[in-house]
Amino acid sequence: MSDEQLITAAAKIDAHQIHLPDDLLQRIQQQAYGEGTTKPRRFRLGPTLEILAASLILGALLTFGIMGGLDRRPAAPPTGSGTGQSTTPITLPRLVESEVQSVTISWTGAGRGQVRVANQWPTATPAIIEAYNRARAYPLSGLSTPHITVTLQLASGEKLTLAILDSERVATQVEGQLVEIRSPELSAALRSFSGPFADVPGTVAVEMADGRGGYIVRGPSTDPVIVSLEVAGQLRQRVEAPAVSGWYTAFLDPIRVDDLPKGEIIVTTTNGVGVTRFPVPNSPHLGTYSQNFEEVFVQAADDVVEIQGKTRLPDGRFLVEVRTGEQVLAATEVQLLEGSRVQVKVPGGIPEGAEVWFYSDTKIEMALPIIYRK
Amino acid sequence: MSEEQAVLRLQRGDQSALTPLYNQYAESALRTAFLITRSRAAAEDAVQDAFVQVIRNIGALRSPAAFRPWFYRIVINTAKRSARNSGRSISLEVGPLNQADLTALSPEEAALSLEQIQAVRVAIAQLNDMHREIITLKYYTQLSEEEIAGALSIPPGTVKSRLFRAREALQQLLATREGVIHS
Repeated sequence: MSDEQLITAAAKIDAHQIHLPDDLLQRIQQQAYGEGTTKPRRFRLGPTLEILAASLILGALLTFGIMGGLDRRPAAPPTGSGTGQSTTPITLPRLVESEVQSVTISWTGAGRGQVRVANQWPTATPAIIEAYNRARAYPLSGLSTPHITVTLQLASGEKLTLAILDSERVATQVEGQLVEIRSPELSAALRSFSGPFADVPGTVAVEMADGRGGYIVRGPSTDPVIVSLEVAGQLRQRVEAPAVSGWYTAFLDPIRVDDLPKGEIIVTTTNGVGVTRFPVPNSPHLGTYSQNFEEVFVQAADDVVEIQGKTRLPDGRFLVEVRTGEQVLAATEVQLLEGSRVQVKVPGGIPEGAEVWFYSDTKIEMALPIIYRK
Repeated sequence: MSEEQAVLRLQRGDQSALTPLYNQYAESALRTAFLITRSRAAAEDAVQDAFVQVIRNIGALRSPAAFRPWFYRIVINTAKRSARNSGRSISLEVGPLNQADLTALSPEEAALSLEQIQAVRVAIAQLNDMHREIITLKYYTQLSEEEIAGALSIPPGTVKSRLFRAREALQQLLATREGVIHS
């Protein structure tokens, strides 16, 4: 018997432990075409903190903001290309362009940030307002995780926040109710500000490219992006990555291990408006970079592992384990705040191949191999 | 309806063309996603999202004949994203084999040593994400190396080297396990 047969057999047995749910095709059709009679999507809380935070932001901004700056006239008949089939009565108010003073876009996830788009004012804003006013005719049920929020500052001092859910759907809130609206037009208008990060922001993946070394940077985008590599603020490489089938991919050269802590990968929209920054990863595990970290560096000397980083958890607390395989060599709770530097002592020293695992609550956030030492 | 015809019809906006593609690929996609995510819920989400992306982006597929690797690339990307969104979960637990599991295997595979198959299952579960992904594509979806390169957007040479490393990692895990058993 060959290894290949064994591996094939093992993979088949593992995979055959699950079976297609009966309603999956209908769920797909429902989501894609707005058809079907069954539940559109299995609701799952997902990353609880992110949903909670996003909901709170939307709730707070809109509860205080949406009522004053909006015209309450009944909606005009829908003329856009929205394809929502909901029969829910139209409840979203019409937005009056003259009341919008500025637009701010912020996005969550790895490389989160915020930009004021005053430079594109006023040409882009009417497109958003027009698309919004048409799209409000298509409220949908359900809530996904919004990653990008677009805040329109109104002359009255109040704010309207729109959260992009994906390339077709936007969430907003009215009278305390969070609703989704389906509108490729509105999503596209918002994307004109936020570039490639509108579809799936924060999911830009940075992986170690094996074979020739370096990094593979990829993410969702319908437009080309610029991917740059900087070390200590100095540009090392700049690549324009075309978007193919909704994704861009860029290959970056490797940098010296000593430069890793100072390295930064920057993904920029071609219009320069959207910018996402990542620390250069020192581990293939960072291909699945935890969104609860902005940056983490791990190094070791003798029997001490030193961890430095910045997290997005409010209290910055993680359980940390130093492990080799399934053997836990040391475990302790650490608090990583901005600029924090914590040390974990490993009795008996740190063997080759050791890793540092980070847990929040009960889930593993990230596992980093200890690849460089003082 | 052939696969190419279904793809062409889907590109023209024929919604009924989704069903034959779903029938052909959904099960394999779900199992591929499961092997990557190690989570049934995340795998279901990934397949749902993958098909929705297929519908939305089918117009960007230039050659209908290239649908298979293109589709698996979407499945892999959505599976990774789904795993990320559901929290990074690493399941090292692999249930025991029983006779019913062997129905998944060809007669030739079913004649293999159950103990060895079980050991390999445990080792695959312990691989890191990148290695488990390439092993899944190679040995479960049985894509060619060229198709895997397309699916992962990496050069064919990298497929070979990554496969080599994944097999090496598997062998190390199996050797460690054997050492533990014998000691």
